[in-house]
Amino acid sequence: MTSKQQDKDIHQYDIHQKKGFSSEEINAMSQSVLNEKLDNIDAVTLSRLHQARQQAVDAAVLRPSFLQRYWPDRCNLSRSDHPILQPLVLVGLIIFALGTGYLMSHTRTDQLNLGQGEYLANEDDLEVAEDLDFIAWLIEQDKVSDNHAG
Amino acid sequence: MQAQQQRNHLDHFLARVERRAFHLAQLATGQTQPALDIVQDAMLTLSKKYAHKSPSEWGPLFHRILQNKIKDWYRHQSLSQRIIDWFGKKSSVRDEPDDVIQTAVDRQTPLPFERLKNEDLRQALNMAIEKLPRRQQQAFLLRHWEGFSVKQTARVMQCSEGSVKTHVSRATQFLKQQLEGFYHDQ
Repeated sequence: MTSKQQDKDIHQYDIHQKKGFSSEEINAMSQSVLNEKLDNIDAVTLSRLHQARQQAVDAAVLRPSFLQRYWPDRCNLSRSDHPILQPLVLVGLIIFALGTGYLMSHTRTDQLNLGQGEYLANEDDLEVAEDLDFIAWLIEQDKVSDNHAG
Repeated sequence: MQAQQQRNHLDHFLARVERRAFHLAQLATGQTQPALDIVQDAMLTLSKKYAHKSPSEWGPLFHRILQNKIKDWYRHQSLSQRIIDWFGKKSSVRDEPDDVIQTAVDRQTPLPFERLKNEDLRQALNMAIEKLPRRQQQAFLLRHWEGFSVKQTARVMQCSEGSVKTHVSRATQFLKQQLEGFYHDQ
């Protein structure tokens, strides 16, 4: 008698000594009981399930979203093979979003701080500013000449 | 044309799994109405988010969604229970009796040929499965009823393969203990 056969016999002996069903018997009986219950589902519940199914099929979105299309899973990289990849991509996206937000907020602040610079962008305003500078220079020159004369 | 074909595939898939899913949810919640809502939500989530995936992936995905919905239901129940307890009202999650008409068995439906002969044993086994702790029940049903592998079950349950084996083993042990008295009657 081979050792495998001996093990099998001991296993069978143990089952009978335990005075209980084997795991296989339990599994088979459970399957039978559960399958039987499926056939006894009432008509109202079946109708509700049918309605839910129709609703789900009608609502089906058969095209992946932009993010889903380029998510690492689409490239046949499963999470179990690359456990760090998806979190990395997510962190990258968050940093990108935060960075973009930071830049945009700073750009807006800079624009607000321009103040007088905005007026200078206009050609007419440039001339006015030059005139004002010229008048200021003239006043200054007058003051200097007065001081020398005094 | 291809979209219509995909919709037909989805319809067939959902038709195949809807009864089992309902029964799984009913076993987990102990109630009919929440079970129906959970299955409906799971179907909608699958169709809206994963209908574009290959039909071979739908099975594990659907069951994962279903288990998450059941988990959400438990969380919601636990929160409601805490709020009710806070206001001093006593209530139980499973105290709502199901609608008699909805739960009535259709006697016209022929029972499967291979049904267990011993009615008491059948009932005892049913009750024992209902009594199983949620995670053990989940693992046992996914492995031995849905026919998922240990790896697939682990992915659906979002736990390790070792945990799945432990849950299934404990569930089987519990069922054996519950049915011990029936062994000699067979």
